[in-house]
Amino acid sequence: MNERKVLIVDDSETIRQQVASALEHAGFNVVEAADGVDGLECAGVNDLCMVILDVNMPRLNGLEMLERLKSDPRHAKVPVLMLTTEVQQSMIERAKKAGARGWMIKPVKMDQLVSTVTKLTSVQ
Amino acid sequence: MQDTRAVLHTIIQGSTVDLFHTHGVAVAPVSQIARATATLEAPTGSELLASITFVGRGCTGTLILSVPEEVFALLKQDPARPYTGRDWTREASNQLLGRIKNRLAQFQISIQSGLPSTPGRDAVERLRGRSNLFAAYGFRTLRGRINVALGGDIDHSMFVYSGAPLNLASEGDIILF
Repeated sequence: MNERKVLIVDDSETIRQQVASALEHAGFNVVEAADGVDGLECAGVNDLCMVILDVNMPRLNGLEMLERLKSDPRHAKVPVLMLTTEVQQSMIERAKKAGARGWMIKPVKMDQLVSTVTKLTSVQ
Repeated sequence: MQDTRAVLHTIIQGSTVDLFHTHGVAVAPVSQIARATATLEAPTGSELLASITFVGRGCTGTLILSVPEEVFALLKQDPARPYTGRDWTREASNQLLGRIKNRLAQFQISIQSGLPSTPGRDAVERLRGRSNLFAAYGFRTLRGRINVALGGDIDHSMFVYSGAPLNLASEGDIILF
């Protein structure tokens, strides 16, 4: 069975720890990055089944990282979920256009996050 | 005509109560102080502090959140993956400004938030001395008092209430494409 590895990219250690804890309990392996630059590096060296991505981050924000990730053929099919406090329709549309699979508004219940990740990774 | 100051106070107080409720902490507003007499309590050194800037049309400033260590200790954590009070408070300030921002959208106020940070005590002291601190709020909890303060400038004439549905998503929503 393939390892189910999820990348969580968020500049908040709290969010990374909460998401990682919930997903690990559900049987996923989790790798973490604190901004878009580290996130792209991390994506380059890991075989990922899912990326969870904050929007407002230093160095490279989540929407820019999403666009770069999706333009790389190696990662084009990896589902991406955005996790953010933002609700601006223009941002949501930009993420959808870039190929994200969903938009989650913080704070999200961890059981709902896990079931969404499970659903999206089981239909790849 | 609506009193936009009262609307803003309601939004900030409601957002703070809702935010802490989702984190399992019951809070109750104890004070709301208008601009003319607003004061931010002096930091005692035992609280967790975070600040986050915002900017938008007719609106610019900083939000400061102060949470007692004892309140942070109430939060449930996975002992295998603990996080720090400083980081949690920074994220809480980000989520609080997110809620305020989403509610302000009903009034055609669009703001962009900066990245949350941990201000030093000297930075809080400077804010306390500023004349444009426009609102400060206290919230009672079982383990001490949470404080929220906003400094900066807001043009209340920019508030235009829209009764039309905004179709905005809200906190906790998951939208799948």
